[in-house]
Amino acid sequence: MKKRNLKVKTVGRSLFHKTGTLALGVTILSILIYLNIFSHLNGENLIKQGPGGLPPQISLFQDLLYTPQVSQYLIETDEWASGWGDSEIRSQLDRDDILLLKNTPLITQQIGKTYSFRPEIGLQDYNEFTLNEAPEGMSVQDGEITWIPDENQVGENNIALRLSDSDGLEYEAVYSVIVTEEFFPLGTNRRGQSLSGLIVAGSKWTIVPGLIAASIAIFIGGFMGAVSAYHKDQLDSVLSYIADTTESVPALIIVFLIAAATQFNVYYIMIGVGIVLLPSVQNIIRSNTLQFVENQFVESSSEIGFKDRIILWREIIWYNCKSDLISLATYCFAFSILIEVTISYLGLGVQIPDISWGVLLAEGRSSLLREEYWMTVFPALAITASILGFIFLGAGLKQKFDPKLK
Amino acid sequence: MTNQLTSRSAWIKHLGYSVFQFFATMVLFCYLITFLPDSQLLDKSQTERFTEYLLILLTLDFGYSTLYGDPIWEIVLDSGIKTLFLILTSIAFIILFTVPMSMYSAYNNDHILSRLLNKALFIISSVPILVVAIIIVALSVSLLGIVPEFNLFYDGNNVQKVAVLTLPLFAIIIGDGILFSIFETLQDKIKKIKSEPWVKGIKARGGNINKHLVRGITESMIVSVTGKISFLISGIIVVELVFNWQGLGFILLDIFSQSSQRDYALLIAVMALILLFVQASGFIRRFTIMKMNPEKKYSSAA
Repeated sequence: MKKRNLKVKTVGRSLFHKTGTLALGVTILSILIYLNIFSHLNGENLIKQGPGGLPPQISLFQDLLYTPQVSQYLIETDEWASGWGDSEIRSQLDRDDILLLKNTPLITQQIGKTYSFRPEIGLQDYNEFTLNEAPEGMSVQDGEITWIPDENQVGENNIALRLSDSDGLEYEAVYSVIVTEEFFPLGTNRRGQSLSGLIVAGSKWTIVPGLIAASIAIFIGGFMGAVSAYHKDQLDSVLSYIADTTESVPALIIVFLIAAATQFNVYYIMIGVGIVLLPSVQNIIRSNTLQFVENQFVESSSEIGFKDRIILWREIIWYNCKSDLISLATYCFAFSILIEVTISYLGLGVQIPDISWGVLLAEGRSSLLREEYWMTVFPALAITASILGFIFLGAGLKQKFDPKLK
Repeated sequence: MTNQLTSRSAWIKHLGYSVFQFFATMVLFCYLITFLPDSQLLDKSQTERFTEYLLILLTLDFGYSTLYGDPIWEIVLDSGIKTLFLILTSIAFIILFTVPMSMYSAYNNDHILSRLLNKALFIISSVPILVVAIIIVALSVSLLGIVPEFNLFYDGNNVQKVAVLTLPLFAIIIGDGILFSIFETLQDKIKKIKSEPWVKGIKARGGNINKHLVRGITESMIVSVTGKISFLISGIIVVELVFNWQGLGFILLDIFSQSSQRDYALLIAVMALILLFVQASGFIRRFTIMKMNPEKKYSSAA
């Protein structure tokens, strides 16, 4: 009974592992294909324009990726100036000495949506806070600030919270809320373009370039590997030597060379990526074919009267190397995304004003110093998720089609 | 005596193969760079350009750099040392991390921690080196307040110097799946050695299998690390550019970014040095297989 349970458990785990990996890969690939079609159909309309350097408007992302600037002041009365206009002296307080607001306020809001913020005051004994400066329509109820901004309030709105402690000292915490007409879930870049739109637009450099690289590597590399293994003659030595030599040159140098020679044309660069990947595919298919050539079923097929061509392409490649070719194809897709992103980041691939995830990363790199992390984090997540998706898809398909793993 | 002679001839054969492959690749590279469009070289035919580059390669007379103004030998050696530092230290770190992890995983195959380690490394291996490098820069800026660029090595304090030297290494090790690939190879090797019938025999007699294990791991480690060297160099080029290390990758991008009057002599010199690293590691790999792999060792001696 115990043994049976263990068997059921193992089969269940293996099934979950197989279907889980494949499902995750298929889901990510479907999303990518959908984004590709969507970006091709909608073109530039996807990229909405807003204020530059706007943090994500989804509050979770804003909390994680942005620390808003809240200025703090000690307010003292200037007796000499009383009756002569501004009689207050405002001295800025360091956040290390005193922290008026323990929680961080949301600093973006869309028109027509309710803005709410319940400040947690850092002072030990304090009286109720009041709004010393606030946009029209903002109110405080039971310690919570609420406001529904209208179209006249688009832009920056200053909010000043005035509070006093038990000693009678008065303080003020000042921050501003940016009101936008559109919703920018992932924020905007320095030029005010919506990051969500840019990420969708940049996805167009994932499927088609990958398809070019994978087609070259799989069809030509697979053919060369199979032929050189099946006909163990001079051709095998020559093809193996060429593969060995190509593999010895770092892939990025070949890609740089092609990029410079073709004036940064991404499609030609992807042909180069296909050539770079060719030796790996050739070597794997060659070694797999070599294993099968010695097998009994090949001899039997030959004795039955099958032609060499049929044995090689149907019996060996189609029935036994199919899973390797499929997983290699998904790897080629992942690798082509990696290369496209890298060369675009370095300025040798997709050129501005065209959009690619690599270009977004390069733009975000300079914003890191201003602590605007969202400009880097979201493109990086998109890149990683797509590569992971292709790798999962490859692993899942290999498990599904490999006769040995079956 | 016969064994010694065979071993020496095999050694010479491997060295000869590396030298031949180096020159063949360099000649091919010299030919390929004649395809780079250059408005300043319109009057020269492709054959003239190829001959010129071949002469530079054969005479090693690189002269002065038109890009930086210094002697090319000096530039290449200076930046070559920085790149070599990254190659060697990242290899050292990879060994430091993968050996204990793969041994733990191989000895505790079904343990949940081992499975988690495998899964975590598999997922981390999917993150491109560029993304890892940028995340490390972001973390360094937000947590340490340091922008880890190489000029801090000369101007910064001790913490900044350590950050500048170590952070790029983490990016190289984690990104692009080199760590996972070597971890997987070592883990498989250890499992394979443990399941060999002769190892079971030694164990049954109460003998120690550590000697065989160390030998197997060393061979596997050298073969897999040296096999990954050109992949590692690609990663190092990216890391150099993100962390502003003025190594060979940095020079390469400088040259390729120019639209005309490229410094071809410098390009050839940089490429030659990179290929030298790759071929040297290829030679070490072939030599290790010949010396340490029992199948190859005894088949060549026979």
